[in-house]
Amino acid sequence: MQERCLRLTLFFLLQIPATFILNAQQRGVVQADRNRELRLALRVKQIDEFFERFNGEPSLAQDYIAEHYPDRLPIPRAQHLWWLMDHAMAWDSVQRDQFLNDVCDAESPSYLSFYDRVWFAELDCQFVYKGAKQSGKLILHIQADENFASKWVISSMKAAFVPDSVIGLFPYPIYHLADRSKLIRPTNHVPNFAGLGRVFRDSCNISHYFSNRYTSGSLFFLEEAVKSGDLKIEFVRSIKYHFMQIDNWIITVENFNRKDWNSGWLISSIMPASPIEKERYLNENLNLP
Amino acid sequence: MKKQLALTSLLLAISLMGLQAQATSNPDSTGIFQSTRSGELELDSAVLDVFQEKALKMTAELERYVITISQSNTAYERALNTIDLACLLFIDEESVVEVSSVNRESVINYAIREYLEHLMEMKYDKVEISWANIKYISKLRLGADGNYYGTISIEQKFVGYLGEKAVYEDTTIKNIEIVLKTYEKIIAGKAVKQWDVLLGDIGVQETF
Repeated sequence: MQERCLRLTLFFLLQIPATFILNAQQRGVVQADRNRELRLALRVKQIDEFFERFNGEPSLAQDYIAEHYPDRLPIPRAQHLWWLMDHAMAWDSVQRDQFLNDVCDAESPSYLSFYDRVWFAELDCQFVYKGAKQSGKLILHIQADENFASKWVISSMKAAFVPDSVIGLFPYPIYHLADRSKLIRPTNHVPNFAGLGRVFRDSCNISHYFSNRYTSGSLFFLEEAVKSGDLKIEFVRSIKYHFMQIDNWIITVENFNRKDWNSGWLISSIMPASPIEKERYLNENLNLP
Repeated sequence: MKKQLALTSLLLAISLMGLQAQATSNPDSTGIFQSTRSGELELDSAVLDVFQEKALKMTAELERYVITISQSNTAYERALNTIDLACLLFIDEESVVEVSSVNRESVINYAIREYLEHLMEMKYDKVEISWANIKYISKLRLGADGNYYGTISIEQKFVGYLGEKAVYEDTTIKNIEIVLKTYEKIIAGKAVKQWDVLLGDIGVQETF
């Protein structure tokens, strides 16, 4: 009975975004410019904004709604979360409602922090390996010290041209004493890791940009290939974020560039997962031991 | 410009004394898959205002330079000087402008000087750049190198004219890294921490 009530509540909540736009249009309030402005306010422009909105913290979207549509306030957290999900996706409604319920649980709600240890960026990259263009993945995560001084670090690599023989066979030496000036800035995900070209050009010091938490044979390969000049990076084609810190769930977030208020960095998948399944996911999907 | 930069640096140096990291830990007793919602930098709102104002000002300054560089009535020498001035806004000339398009799978990365020289070749008679009112400015984050980093996302419409005719237009979201570069200066025999606000890498994403 309680579960049915919850599902009914969620059903009504999830209808609100559509009526929010439609009602405004019907009232003639939303003109072309206002539409564009509304789209931009609700578009999740950066992953940092995703964190704020996921956590229900003060955000640009909330401020915009408060200023232009004060009668719509307060907006429940479940609705904010629904706005962060890709609406073009045919979600399993039972699973979706369970996810929203778990995250918004009154006793033990879930939040995300930039400094969490278990979220990863999977970069689909265009490389040049031994003179030929090749696609491949780099896995990065945030590494922070006790003062929360942070940077992105490379934790593994996946590509068809990485020989199977190196994967998992060579525990890569962990660097604890990396040069502090050698870093992928903690904000470099915002311009799509545009700074990775600098990292690959700094070939002699490439290992300073590696994780001190994960060892992977792929890093051994990466170091050798970059130092020998065999491997260069051209650009990052796309980024997928994997969040594993929510109890019993794994979510992925990707960028949806479309003319819609439901655009930008949105949840592209939700998967129920036990701690053991999360370990397996790390290993199988992100090549992390 | 240097004078203005120095003044802002001084203001920041004074007010950033209140800046601190909130290091509330959340020990994980069960395993690694746990959120550690902590570590957000708390900035005095006056400091944040100074930072945001300066960051937006630099972004606007860059766009003014872009207009000058892109227009055909700008003399060659002046365009080159403007490129030099624009490059000074960045932390170094290795800063990258990453350009993506809705009609192209590949992404083009330009070093900042290369990007500006590319604009110089365009030679529109007139360029108009307009901004949406909505701007996202992130929190500031301490980097492992001791500098602070923030970002701005802004939507911009660019229209290039030949004569009176608009021959090119695009709408892009610019994602800009902002660097608060820290350094120490000896003032009256004492080492004082000072700050400069500079631009880092820029991602340019074409939108619909």
